[in-house]
Amino acid sequence: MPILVRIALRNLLEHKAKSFIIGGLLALGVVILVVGNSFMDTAAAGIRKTFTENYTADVFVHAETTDPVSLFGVQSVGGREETPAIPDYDRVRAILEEADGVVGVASQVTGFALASPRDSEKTGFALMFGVVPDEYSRVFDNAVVVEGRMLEPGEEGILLTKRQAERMAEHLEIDFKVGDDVVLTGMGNSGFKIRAVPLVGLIEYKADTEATEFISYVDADTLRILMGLTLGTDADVTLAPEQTELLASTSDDDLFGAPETVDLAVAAAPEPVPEAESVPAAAAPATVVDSGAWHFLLARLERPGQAERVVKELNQRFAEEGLPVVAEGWKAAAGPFAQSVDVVRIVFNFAIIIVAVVAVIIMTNTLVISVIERTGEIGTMRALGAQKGFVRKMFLVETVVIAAVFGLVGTALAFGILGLLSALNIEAGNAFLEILFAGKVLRPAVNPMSVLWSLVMVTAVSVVAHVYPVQLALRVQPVRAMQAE
Amino acid sequence: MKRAMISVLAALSVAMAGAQDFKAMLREIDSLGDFGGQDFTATYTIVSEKPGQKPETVQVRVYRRDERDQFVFLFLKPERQKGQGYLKVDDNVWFYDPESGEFAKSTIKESVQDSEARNSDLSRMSYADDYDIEKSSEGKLGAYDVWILELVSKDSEVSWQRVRLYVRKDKPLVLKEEDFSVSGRLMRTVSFPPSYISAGGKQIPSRILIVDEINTGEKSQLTLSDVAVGKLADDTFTEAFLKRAR
Repeated sequence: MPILVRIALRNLLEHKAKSFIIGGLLALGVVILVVGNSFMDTAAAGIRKTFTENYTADVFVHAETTDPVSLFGVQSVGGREETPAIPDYDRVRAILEEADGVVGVASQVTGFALASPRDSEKTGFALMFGVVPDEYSRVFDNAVVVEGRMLEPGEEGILLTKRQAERMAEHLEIDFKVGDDVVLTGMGNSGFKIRAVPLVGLIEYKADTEATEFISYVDADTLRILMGLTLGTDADVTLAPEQTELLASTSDDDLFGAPETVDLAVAAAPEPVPEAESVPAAAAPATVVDSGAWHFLLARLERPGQAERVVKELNQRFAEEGLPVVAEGWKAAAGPFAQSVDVVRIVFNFAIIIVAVVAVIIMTNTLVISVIERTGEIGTMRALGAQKGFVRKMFLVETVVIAAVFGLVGTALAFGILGLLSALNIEAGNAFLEILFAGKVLRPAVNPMSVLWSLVMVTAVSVVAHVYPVQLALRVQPVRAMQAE
Repeated sequence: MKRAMISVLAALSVAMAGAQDFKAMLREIDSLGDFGGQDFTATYTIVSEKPGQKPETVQVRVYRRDERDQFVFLFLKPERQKGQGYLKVDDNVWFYDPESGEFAKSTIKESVQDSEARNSDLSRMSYADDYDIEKSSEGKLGAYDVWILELVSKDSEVSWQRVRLYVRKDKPLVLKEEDFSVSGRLMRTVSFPPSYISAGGKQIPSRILIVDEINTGEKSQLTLSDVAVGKLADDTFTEAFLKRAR
């Protein structure tokens, strides 16, 4: 064993009380960091799991837009920008399906509408995901039917969450049950559209989030009509110059500078109203749905950890093929809902960081005091011929040894605490804690990398903390240092 | 002396403004847009501009029975909206989509499709019934001397909580209306240039410009045509009419 290590061990044993105080603080620091990191990792995994399993999947593909896009649409100022459909959908989908690690793909249309039972004078609000039921359920196993049934492929209908249906019945003061028609009024590219679809079933999500309560599922074609994803364009209306003239005016003088003009009404009496039998209602041509129009593609990966790589590769591929689409991770898909969970997580992280900083400061002070107390010993060593470098190395070894030994003790304690917390089966109690706990019961996860990082950090802080007091002690003349002893 | 003159002039101007019965003026304005016992029909062509987008045109045939505060709006263009319409029965406004044959509850505050115009712009309204006059002053708008009236809504059923009207001094005709939110923010400006159509003994503006003051560059021009005043069939103001009117 090198002489320095032997001296260091002897010194640590010689100053048992000091060694235990410093070591105890180091161990406490490691406990705080390991347990804190474990909570953070558990919460991060929980949030990710909840969102990706519920409705974002691991990879989210949408058409290029100027404003950020989430599964709830384009987040433009004032919320007025339409969400564009994915261009060259078949090609984009093929690329996504071929991507390494992708095990399932689902397409989706998103839209908002006013929803009400037929003949109701009050309306509620519905956020709807238009999907192909069987394809969607292969990617998301997120909800269970509590009443009625799931949508069948090709069937027109809507699934509401149980809570949403209850709230609607309460708000509209009516008996609202499975089998009743829901009248949906949507505003899209083609103006207002109304569609009535049957309430096929009521669902409950396996894990609640702020958003899931509001999400209803509807067949994609119904939502396409409501959102104006239809084929054909209107012929331009021929306009006379005076019908657009005012749009070019720039001042009050343009509008109110001229003397008044008065024209007589062109007709003396209103035109006759069409008779009931003259225009049958069936004459109304139906809108032609653009069945290939999808707002989003969602991909499930074999391992969620692959998401970053897959997103990067997909974006490279889209760029190479000149496709104006973008792949993003689950957080972009979750949009404002992930952001609100993120805020809570940031506050939680901040609290842990403050506790860790306080622990580090206490540890540093204790190290400073312990080195300064040994000024006399340092003077004696120097008087006996020990070089400054030797003394520095000796303290360095002492610090590293104490940090390593007590760091491991702290890690063991942290594992014990986490094991105990796991054994206590602490229940979440509410939906939000369920997300942070990554389940109904707290099972803190331990990431080996974060344990290693905690040990390295505590050792590094100890090493940095001992440099300054050792430097101070070495400046003192050996004679004076011995006198102080 | 100069100061005294100014004071006298100011007092005179206040007295003159005070002499005006603005409530009566509002009632006169209302009466010009109210066809009472006669029914009113007109076609509104609404051209809307939005930055970076192609102008959109909507054509709506309006049927009004002001006596009963009823209206029917029937969309004539564009083709994809043809046959859609609004129906006001009692205090309820219903929107009709002929493709599904369904009616859905709507409101008078709703925009006419995606234009700057609201349903209330095409229907009869009453400044005297819906608003109180908070302040009045005088001014000039282009070539016209005007009264400027600041109005505050009496209830929340109206589209705008605060309105500033610029009314011609020579006739009780509104030249400009500025609509404000509850917080006092200017939301939109509606201009009624002095070109009128005379129908049923009343002068109604033939063209209206509505400028969105929140979303810069968004504006709509409404042009009236085929204006007529007379008696419509009673079943015009029914669901059945919208169902077969396409």
